[in-house]
Amino acid sequence: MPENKSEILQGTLDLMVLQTLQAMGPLHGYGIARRIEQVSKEALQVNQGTIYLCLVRLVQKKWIKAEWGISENNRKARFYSISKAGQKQLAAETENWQRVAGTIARLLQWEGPK
Amino acid sequence: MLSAFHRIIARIRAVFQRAGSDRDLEFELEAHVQLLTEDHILRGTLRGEAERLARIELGGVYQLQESHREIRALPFLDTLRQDLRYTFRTLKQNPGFTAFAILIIGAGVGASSTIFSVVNTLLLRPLPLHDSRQLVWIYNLADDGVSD
Repeated sequence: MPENKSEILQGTLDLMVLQTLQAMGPLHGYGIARRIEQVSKEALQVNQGTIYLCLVRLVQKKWIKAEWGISENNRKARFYSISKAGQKQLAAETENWQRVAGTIARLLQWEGPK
Repeated sequence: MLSAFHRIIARIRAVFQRAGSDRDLEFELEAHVQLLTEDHILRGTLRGEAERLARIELGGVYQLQESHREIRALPFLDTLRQDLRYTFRTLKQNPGFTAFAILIIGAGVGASSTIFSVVNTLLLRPLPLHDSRQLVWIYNLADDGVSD
């Protein structure tokens, strides 16, 4: 198993999608997948289709909204945008994530009693 | 959790809007492949190869549709709906059997409820009196100890 490619936890993908929509505004599924790939510098391997599984869950939770629109190549596409509830969730999740990451970082830095 | 509540409502509704949602997803996935193909072409891949790569990157469409359905709706309700439809279709194809089955069920229910209503009035319901334990039965005994 390759060591440098992390498996994505489900909750993490939710968080990444919410943050992407918050930062970039309305996007279609392909745009979201593309953006996440770019930002992660392809260190995170997402099967691009799984983004739609994440999106349907987020829509059902009313954290994002879906609307039909026209894509940049003049095709009908579904655009997703973050909702008020989604922004609140994003803020809460961000704080939680940073707290966990901080704890882990401190734990890993600690080299034992000298 | 409000979001969990919204989600369960959406999933129940999705059970009854299956065809529309399946079509929407199919449309979305196709659009995804087109966009990805065009990106590959811009990066210098030939059209046929670009589309092949795009489909690989997206992943298996049938598995996606199946997982999408599982996440979107409630699999057990979906199965139940299918079973019920199958049942009614079979019954419609065989009206004689259906009529007989309905008749038997009707007779069974009728007989059971008749017996129950008798048992209920005679044995189960208390007497409609204030203190039914004080109720006594008075009768005469003849000299030989046998009642009238």
